Amino acid sequence: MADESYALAIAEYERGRGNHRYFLGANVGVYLAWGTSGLVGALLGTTIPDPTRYGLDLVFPLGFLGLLTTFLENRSGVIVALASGGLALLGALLLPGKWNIIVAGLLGSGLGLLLEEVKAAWKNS
Amino acid sequence: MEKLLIFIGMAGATFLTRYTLIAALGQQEPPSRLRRWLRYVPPAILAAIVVPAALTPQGHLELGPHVWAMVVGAAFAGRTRSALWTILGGMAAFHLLRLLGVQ
Repeated sequence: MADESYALAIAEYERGRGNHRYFLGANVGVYLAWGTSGLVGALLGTTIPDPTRYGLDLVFPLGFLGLLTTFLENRSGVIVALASGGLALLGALLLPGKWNIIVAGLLGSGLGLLLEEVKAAWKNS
Repeated sequence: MEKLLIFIGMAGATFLTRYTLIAALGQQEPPSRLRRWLRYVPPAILAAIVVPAALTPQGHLELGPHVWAMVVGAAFAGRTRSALWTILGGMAAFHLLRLLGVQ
């Protein structure tokens, strides 16, 4: 199980089309690509001096961006994404390493649950 | 030999972090509040990865080709709902901008 195959599969579930076969297929695909590109990278990696010049660092964020739209169908998803993205941006400037992603992910998703609970309490009162 | 041990150790660590939660919670339906919280984790984490990657590719704020590539990618994402088309559209925009000399 890798981040990418998990995100792919969970997006399929969110669209109501997910099942364990899709999940397994995504994982097997990632493992095959991971292994072969790891080998290619080990053999040829030193011949590419600076991968960021070719924008290769953009590939994964773009893929995640494509999956993100699946979770923006309702208003709370949009609010969570906006809050989490803003927090992560702030955290990128203030926190070391990739901690901003963990912190923003936890706070953003917590906000989603909080909004849902407040809305439910509002309706019941 | 030492590297091999590190590989095996990391394989164990990465397996345990994934498997322990599944083993603990997989048998029964997770509690309702936990389940509702988990539904917000994907949009939160995905946005937390995407936004800084667009605006702070080198760790500081910059409005370069990364941002515009992501904007084009977002347009593709909205229209196609496909990760593959989003990657292709965004990368095409990035390289077009580089060709045009945008730094």
